[in-house]
Amino acid sequence: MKKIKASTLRTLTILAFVLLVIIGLAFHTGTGTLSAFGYKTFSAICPLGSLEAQLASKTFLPHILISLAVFVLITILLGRIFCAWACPVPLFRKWFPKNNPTINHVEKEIHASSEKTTQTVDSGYFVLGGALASSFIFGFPVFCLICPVGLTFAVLIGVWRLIQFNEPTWSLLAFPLILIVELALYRYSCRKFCPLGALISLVSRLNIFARPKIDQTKCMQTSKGVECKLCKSVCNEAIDLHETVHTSTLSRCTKCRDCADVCPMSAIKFPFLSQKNNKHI
Amino acid sequence: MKQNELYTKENTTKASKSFQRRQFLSSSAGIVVMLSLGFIGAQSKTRKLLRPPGGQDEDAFIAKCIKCDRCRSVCHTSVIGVAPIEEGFINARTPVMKFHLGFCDFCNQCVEVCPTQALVPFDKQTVKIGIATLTDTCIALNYGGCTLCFEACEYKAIALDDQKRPIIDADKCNGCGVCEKICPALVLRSYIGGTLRGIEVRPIAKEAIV
Repeated sequence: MKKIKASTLRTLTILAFVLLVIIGLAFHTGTGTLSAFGYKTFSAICPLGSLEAQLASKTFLPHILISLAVFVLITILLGRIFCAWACPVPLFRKWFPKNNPTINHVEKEIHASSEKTTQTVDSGYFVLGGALASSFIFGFPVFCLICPVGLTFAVLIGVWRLIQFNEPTWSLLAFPLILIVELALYRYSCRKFCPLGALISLVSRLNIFARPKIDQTKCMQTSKGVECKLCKSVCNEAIDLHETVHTSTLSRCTKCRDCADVCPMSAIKFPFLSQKNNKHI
Repeated sequence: MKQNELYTKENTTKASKSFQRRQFLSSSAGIVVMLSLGFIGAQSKTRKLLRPPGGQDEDAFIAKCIKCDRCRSVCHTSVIGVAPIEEGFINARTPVMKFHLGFCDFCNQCVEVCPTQALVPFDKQTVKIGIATLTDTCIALNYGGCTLCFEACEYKAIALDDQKRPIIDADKCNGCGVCEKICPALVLRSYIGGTLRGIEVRPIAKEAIV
């Protein structure tokens, strides 16, 4: 039997969340969207949204700590798994091809500089800081206004309500427009813009499980000296598993498994517990 | 060989410098965009909207609502709808009461599911979503003969005067919206157009909330 590609599996998991929202729309289940999925009083609330809401209202919501603790736990266990397996943005990525010469140039510069200088800080962290500060100053969760995850579901809900209640609104034009602008930016790399991804990356530095690992004996580059680099080229976060891998670099990994799929020698694995001897070249 | 090495070294420092500059610019752009988004959002507030019960303190509500859609989804009478972007960028996607579609029976489910306590627990006896107000389209005011809202009101907030025109008791009315839901003015007087029914629940001005 042919192995199912990781990208197909990812599409399925994302569609499962979409299906949950549709079931919620049809049957009043109250499950909500990815901003806060839940059942009755329990909800997996968006960590960024909850922080913004607390800063904006200048109150401390103790029950949110439980949600945040679960978020930290999941991130320690599985890293940025949300970004590849739940966030709907990657679904649209293929519609926004990134064969832009200027970007390749930027990527090259990043690599030229990351070899030389110390670790670069992703601008997503600044968007995160800006969003939190702005929420505090203006008194409402600011990033939620343009959150691509929220807007995707808002479009879905808007279309549903248009059909069910004949409720035409300008939102149905405005939200897709905002989304298109954002997706055009996000296609290069989510980490430069997305504050949610940045927040997850901050915590995923603690992630030690299920990290991608190259089997040096199988890899064409390390065992035979062939310039392959397929795994790096397919990686949306531009992680080169052959380089000395810093904790902060690997914390960007979204466990999308595209590198494992693309490797002609099947040399890349995601062992849940990697051996201590992390000997990379 | 040595020269070559020097060249690449110089090249990489140049590249890293230009990269650092670019990074500084994009980072500050990120902060500026977020701050201006907050400013634009704060400016885009329009009129006061009808919120689900427990969300009447508008500033506190808007500070905590993350637009997760759980209250709208759980509402079994479908009275909770979504505010469109026409109501202001900041209000887009927030829950609003749509009394054309349903009415509120204060079942408390929306408060229960709200993950950020934007909807705070309310007292069923004192909570007021808004107050019903007669409008120009009211059949009883124009022609007489219609008493549907009077009959529908569970809270005895609507009385009839000697000409059988409805009178609303603002103290007893809690804005449940059943009167607006049932009002047939737009159906029976469809030639007048518009979307304003003969009785409408309106938000209470902030000063009125104690």
